Amino acid sequence: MIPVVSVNPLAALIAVIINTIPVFISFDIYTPAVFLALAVANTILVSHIRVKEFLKLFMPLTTLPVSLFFLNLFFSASIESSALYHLFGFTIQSRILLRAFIIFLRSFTLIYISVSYLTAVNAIELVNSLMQQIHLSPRIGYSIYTAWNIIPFIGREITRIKNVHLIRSGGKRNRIKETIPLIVTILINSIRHAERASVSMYIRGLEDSGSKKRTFLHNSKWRPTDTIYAVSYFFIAFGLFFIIIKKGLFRFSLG
Amino acid sequence: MNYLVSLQDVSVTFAAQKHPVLKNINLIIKKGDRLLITGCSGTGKSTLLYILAEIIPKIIYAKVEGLILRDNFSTGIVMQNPMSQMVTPSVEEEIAFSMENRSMPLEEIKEKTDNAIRKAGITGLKHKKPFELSGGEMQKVALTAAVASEPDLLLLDEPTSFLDNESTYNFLKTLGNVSDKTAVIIVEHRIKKFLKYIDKILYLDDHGEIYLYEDKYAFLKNADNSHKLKPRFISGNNPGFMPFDKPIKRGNSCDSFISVKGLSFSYNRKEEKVLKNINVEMYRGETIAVMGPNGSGKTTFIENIAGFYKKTKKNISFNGKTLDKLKKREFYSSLHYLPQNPEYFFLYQSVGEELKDVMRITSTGYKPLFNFYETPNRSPYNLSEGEKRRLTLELVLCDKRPVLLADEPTYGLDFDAYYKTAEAFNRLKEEGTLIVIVTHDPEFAFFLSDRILFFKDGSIIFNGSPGRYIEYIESNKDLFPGELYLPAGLNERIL
Repeated sequence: MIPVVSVNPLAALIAVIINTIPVFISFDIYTPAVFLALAVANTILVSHIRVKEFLKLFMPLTTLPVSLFFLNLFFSASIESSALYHLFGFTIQSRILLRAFIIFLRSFTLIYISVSYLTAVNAIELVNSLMQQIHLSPRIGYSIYTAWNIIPFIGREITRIKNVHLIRSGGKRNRIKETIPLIVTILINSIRHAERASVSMYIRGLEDSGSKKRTFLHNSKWRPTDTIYAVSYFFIAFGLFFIIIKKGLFRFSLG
Repeated sequence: MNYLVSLQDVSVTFAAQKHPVLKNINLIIKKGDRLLITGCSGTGKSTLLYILAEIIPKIIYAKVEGLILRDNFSTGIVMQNPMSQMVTPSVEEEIAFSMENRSMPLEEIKEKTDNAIRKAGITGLKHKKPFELSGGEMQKVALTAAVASEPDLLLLDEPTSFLDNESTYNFLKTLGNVSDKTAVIIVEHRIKKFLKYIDKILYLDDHGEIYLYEDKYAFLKNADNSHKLKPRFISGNNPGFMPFDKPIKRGNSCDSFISVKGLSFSYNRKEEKVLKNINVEMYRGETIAVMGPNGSGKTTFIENIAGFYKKTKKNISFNGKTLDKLKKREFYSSLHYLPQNPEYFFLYQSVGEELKDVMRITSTGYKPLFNFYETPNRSPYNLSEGEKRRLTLELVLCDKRPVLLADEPTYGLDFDAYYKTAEAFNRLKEEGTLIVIVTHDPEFAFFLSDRILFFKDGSIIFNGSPGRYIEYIESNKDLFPGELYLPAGLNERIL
């Protein structure tokens, strides 16, 4: 999706945090509904969201709020309220339906916010931005990159190790016996990899370079539009939250 | 200070070991020095590099005795395992990394990075992610990154072992252009290739003795007599394993042991095909060398033969039956696969257990090739790279099977182990084993193989005897740019 405005990944992260807090502490319909609408508007206006990737991740995760909805609907402790329906031998009460819907909406909104951020922001750019804007130690930043580099290898390497072990043992399968050397090899290789990466960083001068004096080939700029975006997002979110509270629609609940 | 590092009576002992790896080393490295360190596997060559770069004891703990004096200097390194040194998300950033850390101006970094990429001939890799590269391509990037930052001290640990001919040529050309002020230290078993670029040779023998030859030619004169080194590593003489122009075995496809038909492969649907319509027959008692540029699909090819991937099992036949119709035990007990990373081969926590596992199926009278039987309690993972390779070879030779697939079997081997391996492979062949070797080592390929399969962009563009291969090189020089690093005698014939 092509955004109307392009923002720094750190500014987008700030928006996500601002968006998440009210949803996380509320137990009513209005707060998650309003902040879901805000998140959708944000997606349309500023996110570089990769729609296919988003749907691929989002669709399976939606089973969680749906399951929570039915779980609460059918298996909640009975509350004193009018019965609405009788379905498959279950009595559905109006307050239980409301509670189930609130839980559904809240988890649905949280999943939407997280997945839309994950599929809109390039993790590499985010780490780059963290190193440059909030002076995250380059050692931590590059350690994240190193881990990032190794992730796509792991699956392929596991296949490789499994096959090499299977061939060496002449095709005799013993899942338990096979697992131990596989884990040991992966573990030892990971430790060794971390050690070598550490050596590589040290020898190439990362240890000596403070984040302030380091030059970055790819500059992650914090532009005035990012400040405007983050500040306006805060005020819009705060304003909406204030209205919800003022109207008496907000109900506090943690987690 | 008129030196970069000075080691005086330095000894290094690792925590898990009783005896020092390096004992009473005295060495001075000055600006512009060109030193090659060579010697047997496990004698501490890489440890010496780490001491010079202060990695030991700052990053890797070891007990260091003696006096080390050092100036303030910048260092570049190429490690034995290039994947391990990739710490950035793209090739371009990998090359700029040292310069970024030294806070060079951005414009200068960009210019130097672009120049280095162009000179190394890796323009096509510039925006690639490290995990998208083949092993050889990674080493190429690591070398370019080390040279691009123009360090005061450049440390190279077997830098060309995974490189194809053209990349080796480009690398050596780059090495020749390194500033005179930069001290270059190379750890290498194959001296011949680097002779032009070095002044001194430091030899570490397996008794812990070190010999520093200020004059490299003095070492060459001494090598055979004093150090018992095989002359081929020094001068490139034909060791005479095999008659060079022997005709290759041919038969109809029914006689073939392994038959590959219409093999095309990609790791996933989105990716480009790594192998494209491969058709080849392989026979009992044949040694086949699989060669070709980095990233041309050589490793993927032998992995497919070894039955790693379900989707291509129907394209490969073993003894007349396709792999999808063969029982796993029947197939897997008939072959050995030696991976590029020897650690993948180990199943146990000690060398003794590894050997015990294969010894129970070994016929009596097996003569061990290498000397692992005196240190059975060592962890195979704690051996040096060369020792790990030797152990995997020993395990394979103990447990003989009709097919041996080996990915870079000579990488990290010292003179003695190289020779023994070649001889052992020759014996296996005579006993009827089909050997398929992926290698960048032309000497090993030319003198040991009956046939060379040359890969380019996922296809076999040459399939014939080493003799015919030379003729092919002669008539297709555009496919083999740069100087060819062939055994002496062959080079002269071509150039």
